[in-house]
Amino acid sequence: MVRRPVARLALLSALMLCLAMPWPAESVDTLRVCADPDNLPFSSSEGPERGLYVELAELVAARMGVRAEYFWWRSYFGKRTVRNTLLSDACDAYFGLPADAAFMGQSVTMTRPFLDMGYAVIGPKPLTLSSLDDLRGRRVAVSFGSYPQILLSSREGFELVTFRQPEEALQALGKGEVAAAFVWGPTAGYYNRTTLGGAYQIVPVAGPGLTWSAAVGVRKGKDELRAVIDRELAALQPDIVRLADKYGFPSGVPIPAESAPSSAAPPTVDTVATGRSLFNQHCAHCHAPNAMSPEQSRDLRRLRLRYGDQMRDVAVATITGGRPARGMPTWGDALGPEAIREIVTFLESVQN
Amino acid sequence: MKRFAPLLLLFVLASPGMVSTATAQAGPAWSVYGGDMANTHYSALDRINTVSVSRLKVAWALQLGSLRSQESTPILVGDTLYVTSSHGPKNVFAVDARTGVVRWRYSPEVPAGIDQFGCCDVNNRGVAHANGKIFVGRLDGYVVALDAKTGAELWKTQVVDYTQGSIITSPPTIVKNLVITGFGGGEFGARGYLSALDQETGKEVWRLWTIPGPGEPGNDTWKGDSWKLGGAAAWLVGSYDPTLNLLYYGTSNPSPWGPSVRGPDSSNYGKFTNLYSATTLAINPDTGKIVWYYQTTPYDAWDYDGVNELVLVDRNIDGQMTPLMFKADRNGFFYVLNRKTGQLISAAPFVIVNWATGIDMTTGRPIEVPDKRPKLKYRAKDICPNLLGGKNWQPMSYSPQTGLVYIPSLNLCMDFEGAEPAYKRGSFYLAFEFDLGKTGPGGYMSELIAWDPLTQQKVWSNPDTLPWLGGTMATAGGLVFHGDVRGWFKALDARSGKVLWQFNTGSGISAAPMTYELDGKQYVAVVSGRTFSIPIFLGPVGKMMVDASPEGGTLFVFELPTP
Repeated sequence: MVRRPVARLALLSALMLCLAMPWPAESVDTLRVCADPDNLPFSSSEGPERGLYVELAELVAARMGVRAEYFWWRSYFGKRTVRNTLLSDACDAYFGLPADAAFMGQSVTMTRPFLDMGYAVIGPKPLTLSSLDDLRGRRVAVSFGSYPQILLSSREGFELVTFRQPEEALQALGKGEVAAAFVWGPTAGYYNRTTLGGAYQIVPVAGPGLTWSAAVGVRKGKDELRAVIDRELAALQPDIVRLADKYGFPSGVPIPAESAPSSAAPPTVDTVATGRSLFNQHCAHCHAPNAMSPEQSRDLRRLRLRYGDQMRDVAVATITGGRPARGMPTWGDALGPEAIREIVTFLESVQN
Repeated sequence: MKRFAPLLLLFVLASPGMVSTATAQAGPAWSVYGGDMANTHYSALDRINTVSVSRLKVAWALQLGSLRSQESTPILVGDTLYVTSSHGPKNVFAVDARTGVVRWRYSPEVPAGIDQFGCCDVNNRGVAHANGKIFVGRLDGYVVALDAKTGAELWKTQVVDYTQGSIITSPPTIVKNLVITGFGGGEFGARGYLSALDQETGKEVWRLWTIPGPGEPGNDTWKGDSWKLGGAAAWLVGSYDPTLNLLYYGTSNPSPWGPSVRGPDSSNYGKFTNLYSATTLAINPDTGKIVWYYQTTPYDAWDYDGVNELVLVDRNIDGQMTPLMFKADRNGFFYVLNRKTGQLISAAPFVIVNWATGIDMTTGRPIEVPDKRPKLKYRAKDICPNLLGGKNWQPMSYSPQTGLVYIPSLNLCMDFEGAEPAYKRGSFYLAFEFDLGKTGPGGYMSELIAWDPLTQQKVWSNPDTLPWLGGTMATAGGLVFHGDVRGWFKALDARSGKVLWQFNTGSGISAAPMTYELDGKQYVAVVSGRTFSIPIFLGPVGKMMVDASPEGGTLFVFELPTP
């Protein structure tokens, strides 16, 4: 399966909902959205291009039969931004927060993730990379304080050129001052499309600290609103893929950040071994032996990153109930609860 | 300002040591942030003393017009008190020091959204004065000169572009015809510098980069091109010794936090010390060149900023009156240096320290405990002190009466990893979450420590169940004043730590107090307004701080009521 920017269906919630969801009485006409006024390809207060989050918010609002209104706030700091906007009741929804229930503690409730993003290497075509090692000995632009800077500087043989902003790194790439840039993927893709004429090639990189999933955050207690947005996001999945493509978000098979993928140190605990055996019998044909899938959307070593403390619950529920629309079978009857628990215990032992 | 000479003579005879004669100034007036250029935060006034302090009452108060994170210490020039609020400063007030009646107010337009650019809140610590001018460093990277009489803006100079995350929060240092300032930004990839401006024109006279450029000695202490955005910002206050003609500043942590970017990610860091980050600098103010340096935390991995104020005191060492410098560093060690030569005289932990077992007296370097050095993919657990340090920016004070230093210390520990905790704009993504707010051993979170700098020993201490004590002031009245996060403003017996008087200001106090005398009457002043951003780093501990008192912004001035 070719990796696209993964538009993630919010199927579970969609299936659980009735079709007609009442909209809270106090906000009949508008969906108030917080967004950064100057942060393309994600959002912009002025056109012509409004950014993926804004266009998506428009689509969500339209399906809800309301008008989207914006509260613009520069998002230099994650949590502070959320406190100053969503939690100050300046808006109802924040598009593009980490799909992590623990992100803002109890105060913000997240929808299911709707988009996966990550860091990527961009360089002149043809850019064929099998691993980051192929960048050794070449000048690679990174942005200050980013995980790529930390990652590459901790390995031998990489010549880093550091910039405060990813745009500056991409500028240097355009001028030929560096051989490649290892920066935030959507920024690279958008810059390539708008400024570099699409002349460069982008290879996503997968690994801990390099990717994340975006969700929509609403204030605690706004469960109805969250359910409505979840439902609309699910229905808008093709549009999310289209928008990611429009804004040049990287696609394609990611290369692993680790040069030699660690072969998941064999666990010694009995249940882990049992679980691994069960996993390799029943799950490995889609999710790779020992769960070492190179395909990110099927890589179950990323469950902890995606779901945090809820990982175990989500994994048990998903294996038991399946995700039929995405090709994930229902295993509850076939395996039974005990085997599923053992499989999940094995999965916990291999998390990134 | 002339010192109050008769009093001084008295306590020189009776005391174990003295404030540097070259630098001590705080007599009737308190005309500079630290009380004097030596940053002793000591006053020779003694009408308010261990006996009379119980009668201390509010004389007047001034609402500063902003809430949250007040860090300002007023200064007195003539009979005018100058005080700033947080947020820019949102306001600089000149008020009648007897009544608090406002004489003028300067309210600069601060760019909207500027609070996005400060790592640690929109604070301001006060102003400096020289030759009829008041100098203000602003969050937006400007230093302005105001007419001390009218508040009119005389000149305005951009020192740094604040949109790089570099903001000015501390009063500049006045040396001869210069106004000298640094700025923050160690968290944002600034390359630090000190800028000396001409007092008359605001034009830059010299600039000292606190990280050497290519070809300069020390540049090779950084791996790759990490020196370019390596931090080492001198964001706190400077000290000055006119006899030695040396200006002293401390510099911040290197950046980024992740040490693998800057060196070998190991306690065996070799040449990769990252000069001049986390360093005490002695500078020739005429040239802007470094005369000597002493790095407290080489190749920092803990965010142990080296900015804490340098307190200049002359004491007898081995029969020799010696020009000393005291520093209670964030890294938990109390350093005594010869401030003429930079030679290390002694260093000892003044709080619970477990990341290093001591300081090597030959090299001056910490003897690291390798387990406690955070690395890439290695989370060091229970490191003490945490990144707020054994002491943060809140000033300590030195009393020549007791020979002791009064340190508002912290007792917090952390789990830390050698990577970045910051969100990046447009990625909105947190790579790492650290546990910064672990209560240290003993169950208390802060401690007001009376420290003997020569024996390097604790003489007494007052532990507190909450962190973040206010800065301290010592006086010839045998007192030490300080506030706490609950809003209590206290006067302690400098010899025992016993609380002799306290007043609830209604909001947490971080700022250091000051005192002055007018018409034979002594006043004590302190700015109240709880820290806003520090609790946010600290999880459940932060919640306790927030619950301890509401935000505020008030200058309280106390006096002894006429019987």
